[in-house]
Amino acid sequence: MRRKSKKFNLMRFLRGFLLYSLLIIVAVYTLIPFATVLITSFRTEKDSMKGPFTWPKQWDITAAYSNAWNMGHFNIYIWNSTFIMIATVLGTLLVSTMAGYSFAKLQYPGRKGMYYLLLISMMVPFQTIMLPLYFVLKGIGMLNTLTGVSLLLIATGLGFAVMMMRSFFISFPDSLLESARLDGCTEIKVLCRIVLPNTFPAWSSLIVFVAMGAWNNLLAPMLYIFNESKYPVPYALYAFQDAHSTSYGLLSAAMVISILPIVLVYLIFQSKFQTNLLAGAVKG
Amino acid sequence: MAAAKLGFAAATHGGNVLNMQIKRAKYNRSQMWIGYLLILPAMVLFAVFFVYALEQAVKYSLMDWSGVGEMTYIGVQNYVSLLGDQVFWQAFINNWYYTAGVIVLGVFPGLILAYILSQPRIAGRGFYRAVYFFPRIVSAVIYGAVWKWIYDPRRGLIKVIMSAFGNNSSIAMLGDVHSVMLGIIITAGWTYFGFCMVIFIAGFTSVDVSLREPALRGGANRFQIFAHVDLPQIRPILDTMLVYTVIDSFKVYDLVLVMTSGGPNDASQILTYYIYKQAFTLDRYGYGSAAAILLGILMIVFTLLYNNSIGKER
Repeated sequence: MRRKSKKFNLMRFLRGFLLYSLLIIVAVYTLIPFATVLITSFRTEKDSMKGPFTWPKQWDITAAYSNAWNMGHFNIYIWNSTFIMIATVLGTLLVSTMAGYSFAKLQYPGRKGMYYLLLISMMVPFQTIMLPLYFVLKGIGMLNTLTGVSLLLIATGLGFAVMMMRSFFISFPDSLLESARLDGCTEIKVLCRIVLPNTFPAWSSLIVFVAMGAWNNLLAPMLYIFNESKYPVPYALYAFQDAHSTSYGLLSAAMVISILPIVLVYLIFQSKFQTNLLAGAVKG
Repeated sequence: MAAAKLGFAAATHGGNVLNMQIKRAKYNRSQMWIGYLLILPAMVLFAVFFVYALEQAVKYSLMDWSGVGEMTYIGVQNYVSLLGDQVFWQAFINNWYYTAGVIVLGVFPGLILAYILSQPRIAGRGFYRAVYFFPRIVSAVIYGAVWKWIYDPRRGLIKVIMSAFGNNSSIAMLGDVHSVMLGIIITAGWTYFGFCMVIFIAGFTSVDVSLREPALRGGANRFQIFAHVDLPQIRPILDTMLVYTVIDSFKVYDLVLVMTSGGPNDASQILTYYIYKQAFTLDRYGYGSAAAILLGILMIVFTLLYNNSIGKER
């Protein structure tokens, strides 16, 4: 009896050891690129010139950052990206909440047809219509403006956002709406007093999706923005990489600077975000 | 993005049919107007930025046009020359290669890690989940550049490791036409497996655990239980994830632009970058549009297959 339980424990120990080794190795594999960037950004310029995978010998915590910040004009780019991100998030929330609620809870002819029509836009990749969109933006006088890019991101992400909001409102209890209507509330009052105060859970995951997409988008600014002073972060970083391809320290600092804001958004909404990702997957 | 796409079926099939039938008899007039008013902004954006744009894209694809000056109508000539363009087919094949690679290096590792992390009594589950998912939130401009460093034939991580083992040859992963796609695919798998894992964890947590008991008593080992008890239960999510991966892989753009710009010698050319290059670099707007329309058609077919597969599972 004693021998058997001892053997059993050894097996369990081995299995646990292998399991955790695997998990840790994968975690290291995932983090090596980020760790490299972080470490390289703290080396002196001379030291980092030897390459990002050499052993660091000299440290200078701030030099690369202040250089990158000053040379790269990142204050401008971060502001541009923040503008695009906030405008896209607010616009998407506004338009998709209105449409999602209408498609889910109000009755009128043509409702289903228009909803399915809207969903078609999700199937067609952005690259199919990126060329005509250039002329659309030109036509409404918004080419080479941050507002134009934001509007475009709102419009091209709309099918997805409306679908998400609609599926949220579908599960919103009808009885709440009916009792408010019976109390004599107008439709607008029902929406503002009863529905909107309970919409925050759906918004928080939509915010992360849209914010991430808007912050990381490279193609739209490449196509529709021409002045360097209007570049958002990814495009500026792309240009910066071209100009300083071997200044590893400088590049690393620039990368850390441009990664921080979106990491902040992710950390704030992270738990909510993954939970909703899970909920969506189970539904599918 | 994927989550809601995965929830696509739920959204489209889950409408309250009963409710509609009761009310169809007579629409409430004020509700009707509010309803139209609320969808107006969305429909205006949809009309201008999608319907009109798509119609224009089809129109351009039938023209010989350099972006400025006159358009000349040439019928389906662009499509005909496209189908005879070797680089176009190279891009098409590369997209499939990329897709297969991401499935092997992203979807399957994600599945295995999800299974491990959904076992009871795993310490630090939340930590691993957050770490593995992290690359997904970072821009390709950043991770693409860092992976370029890793592949660098003179100072890269691979070179450093090889030197440490006394091997002084060097591999130009991204500089060689034979290995360049593999280099891109490894990077893509690295960003993708954590995302797949998060989706699969959802599947494994909803697996009916009570079925494992009889299998265990019947003498099945862990692998057999995984293959015959747990895996069949999450097949729907696995299938959905595979089709989603195909669609997502055909949309890839940033990563290829940052790592290779389609080179060397078009060896890593993919459809989206090919369209971009034809239209904006070579000023062949009509030709690029024809390629763009073909990509669009391809994606619509896949999405329909995808929804169909979900429809069957319900």
